[in-house]
Amino acid sequence: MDPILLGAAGFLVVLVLLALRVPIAFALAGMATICTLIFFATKSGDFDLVRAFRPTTTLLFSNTFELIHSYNLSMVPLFIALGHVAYRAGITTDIYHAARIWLARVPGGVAMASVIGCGGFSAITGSSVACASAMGRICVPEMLRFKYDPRLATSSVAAGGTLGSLIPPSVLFIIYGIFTETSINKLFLAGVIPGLLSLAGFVLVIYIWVKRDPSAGPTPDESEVSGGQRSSAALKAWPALLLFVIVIGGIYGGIFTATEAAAISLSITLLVSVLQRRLSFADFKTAMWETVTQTSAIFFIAASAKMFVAFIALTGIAPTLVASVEAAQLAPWLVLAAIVAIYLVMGMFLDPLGIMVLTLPFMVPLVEGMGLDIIWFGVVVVKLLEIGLITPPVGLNVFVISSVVGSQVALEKIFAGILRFLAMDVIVLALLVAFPVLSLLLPNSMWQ
Amino acid sequence: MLGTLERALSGVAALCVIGLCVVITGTVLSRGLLGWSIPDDVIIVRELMIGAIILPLAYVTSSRSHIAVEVLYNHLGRRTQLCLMAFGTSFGFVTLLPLLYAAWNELLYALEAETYFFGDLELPEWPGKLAFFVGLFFFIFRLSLLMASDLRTAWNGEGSADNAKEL
Amino acid sequence: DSVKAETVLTYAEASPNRGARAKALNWFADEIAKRSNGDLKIEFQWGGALFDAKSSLKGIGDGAADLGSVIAAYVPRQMHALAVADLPLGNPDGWVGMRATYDLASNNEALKASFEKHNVGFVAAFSTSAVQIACRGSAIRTVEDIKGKKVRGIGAYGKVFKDFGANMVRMSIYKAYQGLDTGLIDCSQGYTYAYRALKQYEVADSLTIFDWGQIGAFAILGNKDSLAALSDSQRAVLREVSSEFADHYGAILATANTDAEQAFSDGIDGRKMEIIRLEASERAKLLEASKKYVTEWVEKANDSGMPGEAVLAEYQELIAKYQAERDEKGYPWAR
Ligand code: NA
Ligand code: NA
Repeated sequence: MDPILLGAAGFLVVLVLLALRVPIAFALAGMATICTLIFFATKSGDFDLVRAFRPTTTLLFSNTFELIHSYNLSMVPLFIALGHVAYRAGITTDIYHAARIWLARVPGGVAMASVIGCGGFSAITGSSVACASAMGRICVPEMLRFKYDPRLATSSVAAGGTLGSLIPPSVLFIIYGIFTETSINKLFLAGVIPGLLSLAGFVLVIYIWVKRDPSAGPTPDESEVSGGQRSSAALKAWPALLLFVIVIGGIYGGIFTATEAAAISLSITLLVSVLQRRLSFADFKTAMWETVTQTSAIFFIAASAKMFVAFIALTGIAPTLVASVEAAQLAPWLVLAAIVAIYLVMGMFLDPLGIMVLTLPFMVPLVEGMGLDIIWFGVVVVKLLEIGLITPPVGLNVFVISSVVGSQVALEKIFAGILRFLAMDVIVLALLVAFPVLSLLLPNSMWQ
Repeated sequence: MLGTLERALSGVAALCVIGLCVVITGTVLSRGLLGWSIPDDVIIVRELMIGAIILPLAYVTSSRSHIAVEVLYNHLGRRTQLCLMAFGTSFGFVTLLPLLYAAWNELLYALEAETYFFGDLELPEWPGKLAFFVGLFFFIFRLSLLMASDLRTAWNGEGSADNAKEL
Repeated sequence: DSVKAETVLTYAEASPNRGARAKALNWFADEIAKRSNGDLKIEFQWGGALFDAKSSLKGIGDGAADLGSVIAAYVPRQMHALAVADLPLGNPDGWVGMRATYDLASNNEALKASFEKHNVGFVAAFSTSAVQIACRGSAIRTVEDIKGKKVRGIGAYGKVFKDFGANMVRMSIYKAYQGLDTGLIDCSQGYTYAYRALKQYEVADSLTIFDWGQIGAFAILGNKDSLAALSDSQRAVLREVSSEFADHYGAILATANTDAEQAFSDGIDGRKMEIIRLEASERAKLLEASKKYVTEWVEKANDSGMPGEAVLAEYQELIAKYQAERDEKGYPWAR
């Protein structure tokens, strides 16, 4: 069977299965299994399922096992645990109490505080999923408690989580730097302004949303808030501030890595919670229980997506797409549009790392050949991959939030809210593409 | 009985997450304060990750916590919904069997060949492979029970597929 | 029967299509296509798209890919015989190492048996070229300087650093840049050309040349059945190009290392690195401390029913043979 056809059919059937309510992980893993079997069975012209079995099972196993058997990804369960523990200990409620008092008069203030919190959290984690996991547990229940529109409460954090890879440190920039042999620090610097621009965009979305529909983000009743209340509320939120200062100082001061920061954050949070006697053993058990359930469900989807990536690699779809873009001899802006389209479509189904591995070996020479700046392209790619985390049908960040809120808010509602943030993402992306200076200003000024 | 076992597996997974935190925090502290690192910390963390992620899968399945898209589903009749539910669990069960088979083979190989990780302690590879197989086995076993119950419900066309939760 | 279609072999490579090794692999594929008149082709799966480096041996043996790069350190039990080429034996020359490994892996019964057992065949050998160390702040001039330094290191080399009192920090070579930058590590073990490719000169102040050893247990292996299915003429082309691979990659490594060293001492992007050559007496201390790990390798080989001493002796003879050839005639690309 023609591999390209098989690959296209694979994508299509996944879509159909998802529409039929087959769980996302089953659809991806199942189709990866079936299609890989067909690929190897038909590889030599005839059809031999027996011969196909060994290479297929080896690919399925190694991709699942090695994805999970990872030191770097240990930050995901640890940050998820951090979110649950901080929530159970009430640390997050203190932050929100402060945010609520401080932002009492701003429409959608708590949602804005959440997104800004995501921006801050991005500076201590390199992974968007880790960012959405911890912030999701911390922010979404509080916003729901404040009677925020569930769509706004969930989608703002799912979108805010995508700042995790644009604002340094960032796993995606590290991988991109390895693939392109560019300085990882320059890439990190290049992500700062686009990250802040995205953050500002999300805040603007919330502002417009709540301005047009004030019931989506109700302001507190007690609008008369004294200065004394403000400072006492801020003081009560000190553990969170302390954590932030220690972690930022530790990463940038060379005491621990961004991966290690996850464990350090969790340890500090546990220590403070126990010392302040605000975490009972029963609460701790509940937090850990929620942690493993959520982590397991998220990783199972990621592992299934990785199996699907291996199958797509076999089909050779990515090099074929890039070659056809190259062969079409389009105007440069059309080539860029085609590249953006490829990343958006792949981002609908696959995880960011998988997409990078599949596309960069072929995409980077094409872009370099056009004389474009490779650091700037890295920012564009990471922004596109971040968008993929919140586009349907497979949007890992949305699933993360969904696994926090459970059946409280339907998945479709989250995606419905996401649409407004996606519109802003498209605008920010267009700005990043049109004005490379936004990405290149910092790296170029620091290294003459 | 099965429910107790599934909760126990999740409990072990929670201990693995705590283990991750202890090993990594311990490394940072000992490196900074004592100029010494826990031997093979990276390998221990990677092995703990398998336990943390795979062992709770059976419980996630029994509580039907696998994320699915319900846009179309919500507009369908009850009978069709029950059929789709049964299709989903059956599809997952059948297509995940090869992975279980591979996990069994890998475990056997790790035990027979006594494979190990290069490092200070030359830790054996089998514990991670065992955790992977055990987690996957109970996950797929639970999936087979769900499938049986979903198929029965769809066939009878009555009750709610969520009854399977009480299994 | 129509004309038999060309054969396409899938090559699974865990690293991206950048740098010296990717260049050599592309040469390998191009030469094979050229010399077989397009009858034998190689298609790469870069960046571990198909499977991770740790699964490489299994993936190739089970036919998920036809060819691939295998690092013995990831499969220490399975590829213990090949791992002789990782030992710190005072053999820093990449070309010499690759030539020796190629001969050993092609002819030694113990190595051949270990490949056979995992359903793979040996194709060609890589090397990292000589193991060096780059430091930020105070440099390593004597082995005493290693003490107390936070070092990223791997293999037996890392173990020796630890024995000399280094505080070992585990991270990948790609993360060493940030590690040096933030001060999380003081020194990173690596290879001269790699310090340039990974831009580590931006964050390191000195490069200490050890002439200590290399990571050479790093090979192109092929699925046994895929190799067996090749026609005689295809197999001949593959063998011819594989044998020349050491010369070709040796030239790339040597040039890249010389150029990088020059760039570091002349200054690159406004940064300079001090180049330090370890004195012979200090180098002797390193080699003495390494002996423990050589003995360990031999004992482990004997335990698994392999003639450890014999394999080691044969490898060292081959090293000596090619060192002599190099000293006498120069490198093949400079003849
Ligand atoms: Na970040
Ligand atoms: Na998506």
